Amino acid sequence: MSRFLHRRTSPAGVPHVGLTLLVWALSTAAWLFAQETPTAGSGEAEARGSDGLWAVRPFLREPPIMPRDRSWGRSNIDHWILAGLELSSIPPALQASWSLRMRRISLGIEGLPLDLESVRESYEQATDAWERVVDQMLASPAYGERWGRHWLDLARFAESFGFEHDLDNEFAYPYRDFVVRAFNRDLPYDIFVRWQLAGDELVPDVADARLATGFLATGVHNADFAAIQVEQERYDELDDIVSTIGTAMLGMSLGCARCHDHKFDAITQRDYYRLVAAFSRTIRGEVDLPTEGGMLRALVAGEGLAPLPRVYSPGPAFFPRVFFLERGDPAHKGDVLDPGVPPFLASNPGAWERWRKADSAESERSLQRTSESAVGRVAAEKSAAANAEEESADDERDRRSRRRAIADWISDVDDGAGRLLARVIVNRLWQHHFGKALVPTPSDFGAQGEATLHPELLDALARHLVESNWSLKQVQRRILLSAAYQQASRIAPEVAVLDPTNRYFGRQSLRRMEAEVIRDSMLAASGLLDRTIGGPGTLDDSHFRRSLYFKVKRSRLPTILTIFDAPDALQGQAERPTTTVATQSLALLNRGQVMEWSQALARRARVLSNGDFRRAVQVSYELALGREASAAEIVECEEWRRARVQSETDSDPIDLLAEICHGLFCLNEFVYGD
Amino acid sequence: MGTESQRIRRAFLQQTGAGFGWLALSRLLADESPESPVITAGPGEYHPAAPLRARNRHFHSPVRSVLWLFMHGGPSQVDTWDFKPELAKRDGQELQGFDQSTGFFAGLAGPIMRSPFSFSQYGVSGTWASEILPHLSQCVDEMAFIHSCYTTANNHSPAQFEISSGVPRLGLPCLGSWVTYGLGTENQNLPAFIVMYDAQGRGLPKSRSIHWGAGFLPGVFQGAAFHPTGPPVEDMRNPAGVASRRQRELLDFVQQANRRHADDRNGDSELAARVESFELAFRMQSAAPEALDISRETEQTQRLYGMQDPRSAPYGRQLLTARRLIERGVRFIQVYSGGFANHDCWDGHDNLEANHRQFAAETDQPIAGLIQDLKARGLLESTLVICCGEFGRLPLVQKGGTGRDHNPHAFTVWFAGGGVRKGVHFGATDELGNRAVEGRVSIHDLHATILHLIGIDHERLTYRHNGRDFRLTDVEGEVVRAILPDEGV
Repeated sequence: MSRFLHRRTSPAGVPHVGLTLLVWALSTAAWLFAQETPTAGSGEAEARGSDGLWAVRPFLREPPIMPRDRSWGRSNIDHWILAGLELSSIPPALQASWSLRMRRISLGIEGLPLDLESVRESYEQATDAWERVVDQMLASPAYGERWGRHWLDLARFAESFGFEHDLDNEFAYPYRDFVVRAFNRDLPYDIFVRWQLAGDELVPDVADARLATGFLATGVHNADFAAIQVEQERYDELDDIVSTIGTAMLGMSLGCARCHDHKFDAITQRDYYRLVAAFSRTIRGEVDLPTEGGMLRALVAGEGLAPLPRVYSPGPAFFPRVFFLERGDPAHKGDVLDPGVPPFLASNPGAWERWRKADSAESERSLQRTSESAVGRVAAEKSAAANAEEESADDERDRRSRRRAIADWISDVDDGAGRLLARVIVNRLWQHHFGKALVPTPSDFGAQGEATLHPELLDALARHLVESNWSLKQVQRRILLSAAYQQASRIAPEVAVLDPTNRYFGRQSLRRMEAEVIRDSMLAASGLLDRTIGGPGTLDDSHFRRSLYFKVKRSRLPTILTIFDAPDALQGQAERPTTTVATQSLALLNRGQVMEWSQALARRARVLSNGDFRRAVQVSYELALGREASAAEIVECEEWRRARVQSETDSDPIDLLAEICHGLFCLNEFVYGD
Repeated sequence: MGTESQRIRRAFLQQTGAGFGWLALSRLLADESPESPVITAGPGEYHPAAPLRARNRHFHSPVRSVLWLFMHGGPSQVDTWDFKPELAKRDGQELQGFDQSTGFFAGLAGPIMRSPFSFSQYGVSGTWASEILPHLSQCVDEMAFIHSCYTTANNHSPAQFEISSGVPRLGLPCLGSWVTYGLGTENQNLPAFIVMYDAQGRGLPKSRSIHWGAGFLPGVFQGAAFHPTGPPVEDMRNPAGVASRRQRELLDFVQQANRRHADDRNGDSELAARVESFELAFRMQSAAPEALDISRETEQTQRLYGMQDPRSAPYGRQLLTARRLIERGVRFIQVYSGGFANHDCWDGHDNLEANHRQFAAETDQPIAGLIQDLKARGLLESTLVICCGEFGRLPLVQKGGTGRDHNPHAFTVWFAGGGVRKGVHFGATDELGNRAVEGRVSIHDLHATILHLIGIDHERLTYRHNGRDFRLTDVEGEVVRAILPDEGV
């Protein structure tokens, strides 16, 4: 029991900590009891894996406490949040204004500022106004581009392989497009994950399922090394795969166990190499896939592919056997290991034999489940999978079904890591909607991670995900409709003392937009943005497409993105840092592109206002900031103009409106979105 | 202009000082002078709103700046600083038991090859130096040598990743990033970590810009590369006259709106930092060109750096620039000799003599001039100079030419300034210079030593990433005490 109590330690500085803790503890006593009972030394409990990570255990079911104030909030999300706030004597923030909420959801869901119609259009009278906005936003194709990018951060997606030669891969972009499509079509998240691990084995005739394996292929890859390094390079490549699966999908740092048993979580070095063994024959290669738009060449992963060319290739692309390596050193080999999964990350490790056999009952169950899927296409794909399975020969299956077994384990809610998978992803959804995750360490659910103050809420969301056929949009819809999401970000002084870091979510967080959103917002406001979705990216930084379509060449990342903390795509990344440095300001002040975009915004505003300066200023504010300019702001601009006219002596009068637009792009309000 | 913007900022902080964020930030930014730092943060304890502010050390060190001279491609230890008379005696003989997979080209290692250069002893320390280093050999009593370094990779980019980040793979933060993450910097008007790659336009190092990448550390700690040709820094303009006035007007418009916005949000410290970053950008526009303008140096100084000789002028210009940056408190500077292609760097596979003569001629006088100049200005003790490549070279000939293949098992690193023990030699290779045998120093050991020299305990500088506390030295690293000032050899 102590471990669970420890996990819910309250932050220092909150008054009545003892009382708060006590109430928390009492309120969830039933759950704790239920959790801990099976560990009472029964053999069955042992077999059920009760020593596994907390996050593979069953979801909490009953709300242990109801908030006193029943008027706030609409859903169980709000009940959990409010209960926590009340216990800590923190009042929730007021609802943000309509225009702020509109801007927030637009930047958060589409990654773009509101268009002019949406700024001016008001559903405010309608009782279901917000619901309509939420549904409209989630249906926008820009949603997939915005949320796909979050996943690509985790997947360390790039279109070149790094190292000395940083060889390009012209055909990596179809994986990026698959991710965008998956989000837009709300592909059930378990299937999204399963395809990325073994789509080619599960449904080989579905192009998207094979494109998904790009996840395994997009990591760094050395193309020039000496003969003596061949084995080491291969183990590095496999480590990249297993580590990225660990952090992105499971929120666990598996890579730690490469050289020694995991120091903090019960993951042994043998567990690590057994997981590696499942990928022993998996290499990257290019295939031509039939799609609606014709044949598509794509970088994928699988067995039996033709290896990609290297600059200098002194050895094989893979070794069929994986050894236990002392200290991770190929010169110190132990025994050969068979594929397997870490028992710590399965609620019933004994189910491994079932996952290992391709015709498992689990697959049948999930087939029945997806027949009820909102996405009809997927159900059909599942049937195709079943057919493909029957056709494949048994011996073939044994060799090819290794990754499939991993996919079965990772998505098996009852016996495998499925609950962890669900908890990790809903935590990430929350993270991006609130700028802060429920489990504050989104890629570490292990002992070194930080405990959540809201385990019941996390579990309610995870359960909701599983019960809604792993629909991310359903969970997001619930979050977006909550009163918690719609709070203002302004912080009352007393709350600043009680909860300075917003651990209780008694407000929205003020956060700087990501690099892509900053650039895309300038392009969108100026009317220059090209909204074409998908296809090859470009290295030419003068393009007008969304920043997602920069070709991600690891040695030539666009500075307009990297200065605003875009990831380097070398390892998966769960959270982007937010740094504030002068080079960002220099780029906004001096970069020619920013000035061109400012001029385009000014031109657009002038056209929309028939040349009237006041109205043009007004329109510029609406386009850039999603709100009307205040009377004071308009006066400010007019005074600036008057002063300029008086002082200007050269014959080429500067376009002051463009300077105002340039100024708007530099505003904190512009890059913070709130 | 500087005073004006400072005044505005001060007034601004006073006006809006009501919010707790402002207060915290104004404390954070209060100190502008390096003489009276009121620093409370320890190594790595950076504030997101002012991540580059100088921080305390774990223990005292005189070092303010680190200058890493990177000899790209892997200079040969036995042809520079690790004199092996045995090579001449056994010239042309096969090396029994040699593992042909040691170098990059398996099977191409031929017999033992003598050094094409003559060696002499210099200084009170009696240091042996190759004839291709006529200027540096006059400075040996200022230098400390480690002859027993080794790495684990035998090709350029993995070995470069290893020497910069501790592992022969990409993705981890480099030394300069760890140092700036650890200590911040002492001049907020210039980048904290500056990289100058090959001065002659021969391109990036083989590990490219990842060699100065911050990995999982916040991007603010990555190296800022100054382009060797054209404007050194992207987006840097120094507008004059009307343009300058207009930019100030634009800034005033932005800052006024930003202040209203921030006041409305209790003066959030991140918002305040962003307001400040615009002022800093404005100041940097004049600070950086001034720092980089070597025409302000006397002709005598320029000659010291070999700028009268067209071979050494480009590198000399970079080192003179480096000295100006050091004077201004830039924390970490990395300068490269040699670019991407094998024949454009110290990678003497085919004709070692021609290759090393060329690159030594480009760098020898500038480096010696730098050491003398730093010393004359009283900056040598507060500057740690490090010089090395990513690995060494075999004492054997590479078949098909008169060059040498890569050798991960032995190379020499030398230090100067920064309080290192002067004229000391630590560690030794075998009689052929083929392998480090005495006092072997791994890359982790090297990093531990460098961090120690600048006042950082390598075991205590950590960063939490994906659930793990990372260190530059992983779980290893032993400080080479022999080169520290107060300890015996």
